[in-house]
Amino acid sequence: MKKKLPKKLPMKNKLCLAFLLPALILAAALSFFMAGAAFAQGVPLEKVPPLPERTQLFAAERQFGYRGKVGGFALKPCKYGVFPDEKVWFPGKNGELPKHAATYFRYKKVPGIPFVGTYIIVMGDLSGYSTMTFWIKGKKGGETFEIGMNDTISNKREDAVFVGSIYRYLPRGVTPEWQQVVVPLEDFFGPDLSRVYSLVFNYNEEGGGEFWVDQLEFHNALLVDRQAEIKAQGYLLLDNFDHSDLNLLGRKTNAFKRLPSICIHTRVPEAAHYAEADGATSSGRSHGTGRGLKLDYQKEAGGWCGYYTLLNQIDGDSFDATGYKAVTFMVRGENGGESFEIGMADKNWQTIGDSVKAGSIEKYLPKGVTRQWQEVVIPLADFGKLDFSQMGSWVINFHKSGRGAVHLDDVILVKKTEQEILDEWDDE
Amino acid sequence: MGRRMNALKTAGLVAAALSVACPLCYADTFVIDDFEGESNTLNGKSNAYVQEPSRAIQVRTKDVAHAGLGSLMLKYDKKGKGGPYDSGGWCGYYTQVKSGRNFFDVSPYTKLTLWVKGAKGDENFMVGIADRHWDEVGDSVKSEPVTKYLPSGKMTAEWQQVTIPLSFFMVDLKEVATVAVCFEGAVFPGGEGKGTLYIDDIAFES
Repeated sequence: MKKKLPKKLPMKNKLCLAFLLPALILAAALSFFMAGAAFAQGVPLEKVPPLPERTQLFAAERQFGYRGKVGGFALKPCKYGVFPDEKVWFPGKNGELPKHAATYFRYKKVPGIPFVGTYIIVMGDLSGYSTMTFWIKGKKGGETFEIGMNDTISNKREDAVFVGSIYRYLPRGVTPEWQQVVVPLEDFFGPDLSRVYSLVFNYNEEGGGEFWVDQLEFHNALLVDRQAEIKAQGYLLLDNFDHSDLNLLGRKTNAFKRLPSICIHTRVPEAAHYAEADGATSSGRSHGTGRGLKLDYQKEAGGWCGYYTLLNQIDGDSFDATGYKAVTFMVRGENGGESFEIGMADKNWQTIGDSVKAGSIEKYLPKGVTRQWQEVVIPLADFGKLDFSQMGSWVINFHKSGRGAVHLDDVILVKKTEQEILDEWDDE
Repeated sequence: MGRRMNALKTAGLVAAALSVACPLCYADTFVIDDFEGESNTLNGKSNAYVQEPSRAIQVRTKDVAHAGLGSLMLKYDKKGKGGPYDSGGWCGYYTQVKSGRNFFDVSPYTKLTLWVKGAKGDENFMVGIADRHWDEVGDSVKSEPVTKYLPSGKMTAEWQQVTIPLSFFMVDLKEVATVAVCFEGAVFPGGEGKGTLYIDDIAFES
């Protein structure tokens, strides 16, 4: 044993002992039970506390909504199907679970405006839980959707808060094998977790798919150790633009413009960096699959335009970047010669709606942007005296008049090593 | 080793779950962080905090440990002038015990303990605890200078256990958000100090 920990509660007399002993036995029994089975499995949806009294519900929500109900929404020609499937269920890690029904989901998403999604009604108070888990398997693998949540207010305006694609939680995506999805509930910044109406799957990517979900559960403890994940790989993948308009922190991204200058952003396959075909990054990191970011811009003498990805939660926590040393990304131009600045904003710069620029892209690519993929590495120190403990955004700013298009992929924050942290200290 | 660390973390998470689920179901000691892994027992965030011109860094080192394989190394440089109100800014280290939006109930416990040693022996700090209220304002309630809680009455280059009664902090013990190591100017002569110290096995004990 590493530590010498006190083994007994202080007990000053026999009366105290007589009172506490049964409680200790109960605690020990519960501890064993919780550690072995119930804790590992969490609390199933049916055991989640109900909505608080006097929660305002529309008549239709009261009449047709009930916990565990599954359904969907679609604008034709998009389609969905969702129902309990008694032929498929998660058998447990060791095959210990008896036969039961998983929930089957099927979707077809066409290009353009038509939308499609499905939901599971929760109608419960999740404020006492820190983590949501469920098991998922796809029929073919590669099925994809965004995960969202409605509280009883957002449900009325049909405006769920999304935390990103399933790929944020399963980096290798859905496969034909059962995998557990672990979602920290703090990722759902915005919904009132004491009044959760539904869990939403939004099929934002074109195509179709079939998958099953089982064992939806909620846990008191935070089951994700994100610091360990980042430390293990040595970097944080901020965005690969593959599956969601949200970045991989679950934050908003968008183009910005002030007329007459304009910028349009799209996530498209033609802008994807494929490591094997296009050359791996200098560090060997490779996340280039699916899609990349295409920025079409027309910068006039007046106005401004560009693209940002948020690091902070809107009206919430800023991002602590003190543990990182550089930002890297892949870039190529449609014609070559395109130019832009790279900026970052901390909480203060975000308040005034601007960013500190590290410099023009030519500072980091001596030959400038070309039609070939190149990796850009920018030390965070180049962004000057920002408060890196409270960061807000990363920015592409088209500062030179002209029009063009650039492709970007795999925006990464590179972590400092412990030695680098110590060396920095010694330098000062 | 990995399995043992996982087992420790699982045990911690079970204890955390139990503390929420059942008032009777708590262990008599809850180790917040033994600095063996990358995060604390509750997978909460932890980092140095700084306001210039003061500065601090934190490293989970494997070179020094009270027990086990690692400890927290803190390097601090608390300035006495400059920064907001010309008070030299501030610096320290925090570790979150709240899980997501759920605050941690430490009411079953009576004291906060940790092991500490200085690189030289003249280091000092205060321990801070933030409940929901103090978390919202980004600050914490501070203890007395930590030397007051040391058996020898002073920091040394040897490991010593700090024991602080939780009742001292006058915070809502049912809703604790963070525990902090705070290099306050008041603990240093002239309001400024610089040094390196090591911390291990921060725990709540009953």
